[in-house]
Amino acid sequence: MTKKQWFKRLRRALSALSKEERETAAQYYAELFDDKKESGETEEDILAQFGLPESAAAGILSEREHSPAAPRPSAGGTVARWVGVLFLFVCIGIPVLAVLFALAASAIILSASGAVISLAGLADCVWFFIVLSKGTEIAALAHIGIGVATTGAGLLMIPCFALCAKGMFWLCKQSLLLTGRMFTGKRSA
Amino acid sequence: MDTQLKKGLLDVCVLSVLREGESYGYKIISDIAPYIEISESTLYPILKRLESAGAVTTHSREFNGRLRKYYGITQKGLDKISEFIEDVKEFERIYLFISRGGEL
Repeated sequence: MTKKQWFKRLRRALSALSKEERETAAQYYAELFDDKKESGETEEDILAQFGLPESAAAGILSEREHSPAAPRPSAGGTVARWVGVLFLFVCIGIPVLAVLFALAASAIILSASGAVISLAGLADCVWFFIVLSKGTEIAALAHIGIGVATTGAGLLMIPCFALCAKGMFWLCKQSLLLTGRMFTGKRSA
Repeated sequence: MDTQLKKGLLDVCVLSVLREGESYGYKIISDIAPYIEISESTLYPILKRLESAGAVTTHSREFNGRLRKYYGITQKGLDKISEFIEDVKEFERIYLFISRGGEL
C-alpha cells in the first residue's frame, strides 16, 4: 500500500466525521509520517507501524463515541429530521434523481449510437473501397472520406457520452449518499 | 495490563511529557515508548481527549516548510498529574494492605 492509498482509505473510513475532524486526523498522521520519514524510516515501515487505516479510524471513532462532547440527538429531534428529510427527498430528491437517471440513460444511448455510427462509417469505407477497386469512379474517393470522418465522429461519441453517463450516475450516487447522511444525522463529508 | 488502567496511565504519561515543555506527536511517542507501550493510533485519541478536557492546548508552527502541531499543558493538565500522584499514594497503601494478606 502506498502513502496515498493509506490516507485515502483513512479518510474513507472516517466518512462519518465532519470534513474538519477528518482532516485533523489525517493531518495528525501526515505529520507523523513526515517526522518519521525525516528521521530515516522508509514509507513501508511507517505505514506498517500505522497499521490498517480502518483500525486507526476505528480508534478515532470509538473515542469520539465515548466522548461526552459528542452530540447525542434527542428522539424528538430524530423524528423531526426524518420527516424533514423525507419531505425534501420526495419534493426535490426524487425529481432530481429522475432527471439525472434520464440524462444518464440518454448518454448511454448516445454512446451506443456512437458505436453504430462508427460501424456504419467503416462499412461505408469498405464498400467504396470495393467500388473503387472495380472501376475508376472518383466519387468513391469522396465516399471513403465521408466514411472515415463518420467512423471518427462515432468513435469520439462513445467515450464522450460514456463519461457523461458515468458523471450522471456519480451525481445520483452523491445525491443518495447525501440523503442517507441526512437521514442518519451524520454531518456532511 | 487492564485497558482502562492503561488508558488512564497513558493520559498522565502524555501530560508528564508536556510538563517538560510543549511537544509534538512524534516526540511524545518517542519520549513515552521506553516506559509504556504506545502507538500512533493510541496517541491521537488521547490527545483529542485531553484537548476536549482542557488539559492541553494546541497550536501549529512552521517546521521544515510544513506545519507541525504542538501540544502544551494547561493548569488543568497539571492538576490532573497532581491528582494522579495522590491516587497512586492511596493505591500504595491499598497495595501494602493486600500484599500483607489483609493485615493492618
